[in-house]
Amino acid sequence: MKALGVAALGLLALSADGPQVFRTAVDGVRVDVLVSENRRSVRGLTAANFVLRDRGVVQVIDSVSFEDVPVSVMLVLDTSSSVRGTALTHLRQAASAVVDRLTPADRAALMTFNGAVSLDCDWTSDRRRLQDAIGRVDAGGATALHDAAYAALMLRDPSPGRPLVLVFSDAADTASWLPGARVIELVQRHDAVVYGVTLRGAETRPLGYLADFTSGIQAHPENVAAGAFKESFIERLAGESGGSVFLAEESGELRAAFERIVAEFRSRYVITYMPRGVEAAGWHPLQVSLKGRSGRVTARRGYLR
Amino acid sequence: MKEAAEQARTRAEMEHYQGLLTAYAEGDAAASIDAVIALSRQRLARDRTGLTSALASINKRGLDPLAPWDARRYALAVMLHTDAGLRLAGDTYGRETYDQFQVAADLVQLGVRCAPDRFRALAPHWYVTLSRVLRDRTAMHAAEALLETGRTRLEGDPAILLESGLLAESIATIFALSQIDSRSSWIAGGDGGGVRRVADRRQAWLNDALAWLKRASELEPGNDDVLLHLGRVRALRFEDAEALSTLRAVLERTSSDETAYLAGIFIGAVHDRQDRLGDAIAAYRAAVGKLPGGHAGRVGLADVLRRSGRLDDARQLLLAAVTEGSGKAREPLWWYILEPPGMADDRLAALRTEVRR
Repeated sequence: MKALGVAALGLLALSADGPQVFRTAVDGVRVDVLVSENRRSVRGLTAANFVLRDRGVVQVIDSVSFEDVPVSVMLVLDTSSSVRGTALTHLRQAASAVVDRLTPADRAALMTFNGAVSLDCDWTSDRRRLQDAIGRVDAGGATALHDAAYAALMLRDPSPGRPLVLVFSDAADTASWLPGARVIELVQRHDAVVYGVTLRGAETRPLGYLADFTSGIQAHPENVAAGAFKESFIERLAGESGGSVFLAEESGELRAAFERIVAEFRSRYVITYMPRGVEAAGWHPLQVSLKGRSGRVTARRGYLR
Repeated sequence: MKEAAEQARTRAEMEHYQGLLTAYAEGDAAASIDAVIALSRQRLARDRTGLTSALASINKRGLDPLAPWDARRYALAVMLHTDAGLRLAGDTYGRETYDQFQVAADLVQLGVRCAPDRFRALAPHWYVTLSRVLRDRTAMHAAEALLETGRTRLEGDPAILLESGLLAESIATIFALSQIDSRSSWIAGGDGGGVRRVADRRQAWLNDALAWLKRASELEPGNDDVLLHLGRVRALRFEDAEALSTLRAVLERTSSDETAYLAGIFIGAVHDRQDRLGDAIAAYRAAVGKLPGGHAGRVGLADVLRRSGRLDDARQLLLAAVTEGSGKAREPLWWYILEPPGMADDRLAALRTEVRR
């Protein structure tokens, strides 16, 4: 299970007609996969253990890597007025714990949002800088969650680490210009894995993010499938990327949730393959399963080219 | 005999009431508000129409010791009952609050009739100010009930029509989901019926907003604020051609950078939704030109640049936007529907000062 070199992955080849973020230098695809059993990560798997279908067609897996690639963590923290007081202290502690868990090769950045979005610390491996920026975080204002998630995906680390976007928000969006659907479209083109953390009782909206009457750009609700209205923005964002959402009962649990996310992300496999037998353009639903052993596989739902 | 006793009691109450007005104007306003609430309760305990009949005694020689009233006295009475209503409201807007606001509105109308010079401006000012206070406290239906009275009694007043349009627009947007059934009942439906109900209710508010803003625009064609909201409401109704034409008219006329910025991003949003990326880029770019620190304009522009294949430009723009820090972001959109915190109370304080003049 030797990791594939980052240079060989190529990563993020961007075409003139948009960010085709899954395309490697040789049009390969990289899929970040979590395998778990009884809520514990399963280690020691090789390419022979995986079956990957792209648009229903079984693909030949070129490589599977595990833990060897540095990570690039974008911390995206809701600092709207509802996070004032003790919750803010706990949030700072949680973010700080993530920085403490970085290895020297890892990098991180800190983004906060209320009605606007702020990059409080650009990509760096300097932990001191990150900790200082976390210490300066303050709260107040509205919640531009969609715009913040969008900016976090767009401003990815130029270094070739595995991108993790860790989003904390305790409320539904109230102030974004972009509709959530636009961010979902972006994450489908992106190789980042998004993990969300919310607080119990956070979803104040009676419906999911597609019932959106507040963002600047609005679409007809008639254009959306009825069932889709149940899903919250963070759930959908994380689900599309192959990540997941952690629900903290109260803000004192944020630190444990953040630490668990970093640990889980480090225990994921990176599968690369060259798509064969499928049309290149459009939506590629992905299915990743195991052969020869049991376990639960979590991977992105697909990718858009 | 009984009638004479009733008249004597009314005279005594009117004397007490006049004392409260004087104290409200010059002395202890809080005590006057408490006292007028107590007086109102006494009258209502005797008779459900007690407040209406009290109003009938105003300015009546023989019953009202201070008849005839001057404009200031009417204004003070309006504000005393307004404050009584707000004191009673707390978090709920029940019958007692409604009664006090109704008395205040009736006094406004008496002022319009008996002191038209003073009340020509004061009457719409009162309706708009109280509406803003109620909106600020998210008592949207109380605000709309008040404005409905204003639309009926001051027919064709552009300020009240504009305020009505703004309120309806806000209910159709940021408050659209706060008036619906519980989450569980929505999800139990499972067929999108809940979405349909919200969409229909929202559409009804947008229809009202359109009608009121159109009328306000006809009455006050030079008001850019009316036209800006009219354009946005048309865009929210997916009347794209009319929306664009209205918003372009704002751009041509306004001398305010913030209004031009908002018109620009609203135009950008229409093109953006239509996937007319070149037009959207031009509109957003013009908006950002008016207000370089605008958050919404830069995010909107970045996304249409990305979708046009200009990813580096999009990133550069976003990076500039987010590295300035949220403290420096300037975004008129935040206050397009809601006023900044404290502004409604400032308006109320200004109105209180105005009536004491």
